Amino acid sequence: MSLARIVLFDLRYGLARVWRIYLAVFASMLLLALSYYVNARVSQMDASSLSLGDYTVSVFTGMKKYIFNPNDPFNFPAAWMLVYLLASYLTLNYPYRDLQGVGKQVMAQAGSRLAWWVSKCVWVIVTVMVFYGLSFLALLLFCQVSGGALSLSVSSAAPVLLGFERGALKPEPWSLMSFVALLPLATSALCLLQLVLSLVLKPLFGYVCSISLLFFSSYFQNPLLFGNYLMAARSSVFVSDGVPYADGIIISIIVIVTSMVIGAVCFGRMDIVEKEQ
Amino acid sequence: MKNMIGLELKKALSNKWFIAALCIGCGLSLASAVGDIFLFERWSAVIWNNVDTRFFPPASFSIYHYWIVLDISQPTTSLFYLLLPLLATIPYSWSYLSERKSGYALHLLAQSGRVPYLGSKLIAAFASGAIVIAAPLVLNMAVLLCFVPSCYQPDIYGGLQAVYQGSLWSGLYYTNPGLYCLAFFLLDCSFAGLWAAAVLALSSFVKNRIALLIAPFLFLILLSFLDEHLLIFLIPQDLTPFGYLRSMAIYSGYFTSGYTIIVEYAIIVAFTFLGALLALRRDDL
Repeated sequence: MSLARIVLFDLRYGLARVWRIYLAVFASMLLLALSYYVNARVSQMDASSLSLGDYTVSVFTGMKKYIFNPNDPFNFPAAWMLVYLLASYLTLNYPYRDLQGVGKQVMAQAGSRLAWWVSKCVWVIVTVMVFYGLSFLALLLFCQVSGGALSLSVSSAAPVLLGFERGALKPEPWSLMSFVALLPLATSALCLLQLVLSLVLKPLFGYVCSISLLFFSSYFQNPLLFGNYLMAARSSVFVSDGVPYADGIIISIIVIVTSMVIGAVCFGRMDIVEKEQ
Repeated sequence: MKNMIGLELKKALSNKWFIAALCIGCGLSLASAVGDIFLFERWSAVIWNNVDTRFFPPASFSIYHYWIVLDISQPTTSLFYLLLPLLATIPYSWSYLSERKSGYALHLLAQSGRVPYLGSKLIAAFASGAIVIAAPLVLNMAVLLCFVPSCYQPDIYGGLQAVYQGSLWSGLYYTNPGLYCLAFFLLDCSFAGLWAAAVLALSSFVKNRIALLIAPFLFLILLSFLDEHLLIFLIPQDLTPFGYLRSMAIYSGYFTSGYTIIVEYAIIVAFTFLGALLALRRDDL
């Protein structure tokens, strides 16, 4: 069995298995967009003037850099965490279940563990792409229904309403595409790292590691905590003291390559016959 | 029934998932304690060199400032409370689903009957969830007490304590802080136990172990988002356990009412009974 056939099988079967989670992603994106719409109305803005770019920034805002203050305790950005915990959950279960099930036969047919591993890595990356495609579709739909403009320009009021650091805001216009282009890369890095940890530790503890990484990324603004690159409020596209998106590209690629290599090595030595159900 | 409970408790408290969840919780709690001890040592130098103790009353820097429930300075404290619902369910909430799938449940049911089997499972899940959270809270207190005094003087000028007038049980904090700590300890442990039992009852509806443990956690994250951005206009209170299990309003900026907690507990208990009832009526075990 060739690698291409294994990949096609995983894409067809694996993507279909997570349709419920995709539905949850779609609904969550609509809810997040609605929340921004309501907040804009409450702030007496003309909510119908919000563009697709505004909704995109609102969903991936995260939070501004946190500096400890006893009168302002840390509050994790629930909306942002929800988005990326759903993305992590999408890619969590299928590889491990496949390994317990038909995956062993696939490896036997292909005569290669590496083919199985590479196929799963490709599946993770494609799943992340579909996640973003579906997310933008949901935002596009909401924007259309609410009468907003279908442009990717970000209005001057959006970052202020979303709690960006006002003093550090860069002058307009902001290049939303530079920020958005990094998102699938950084998310793929997160999900591939989770995949490796899932195989070594079990999926649940892999997910706990993802939660911890996202949490520490929101607590500390550090270029090595690559969750920072998933936050618009900390991106150098919008704020002057933000994390540079060029660094994000490099770090994400390093994490992706390292995860794939380490995963291949670990999986090559793993006892897969006695994986518990 | 007693034998069944004993068996389930033994299974719940000696399995590797319980050990793993306990290690994660204790690790985070220990990291918080160590961070706070360093903070205390640093502030001690400032306090004892500061002549005017009106603004830095030394007794404000006591165990009742640094214990994990009251702590707001350590990131591991916030991470502990974020992971709390997940940690509570890891030890044993998956056991009913797992035994149903393997067929072991039929074997036990044949010996003991449905009500004793399910009842003892719920008790064991409650116990394991509560212990997995209780141990880190106790560990944190024990480590801190080795370095931080338990003397008490309320910081009435504010800014150093996180317990404001509107906070839950604030009156108790300023009159009997030991009882305040006990109250929050019981609140946190009881929530963890109830949540673990509720997730076990959810196995009547969910067939996937990962989904069983993670979906309720994601539901709480969703609730946190809704509370912060939408529900706050209708119910200006902290509705999620990420907030009300700690001593101050953090996540929504609004204080929690005890009635809200009672209502949420009632909902969790009702859901647990509903799930258990459905499990009792199943024919396809």
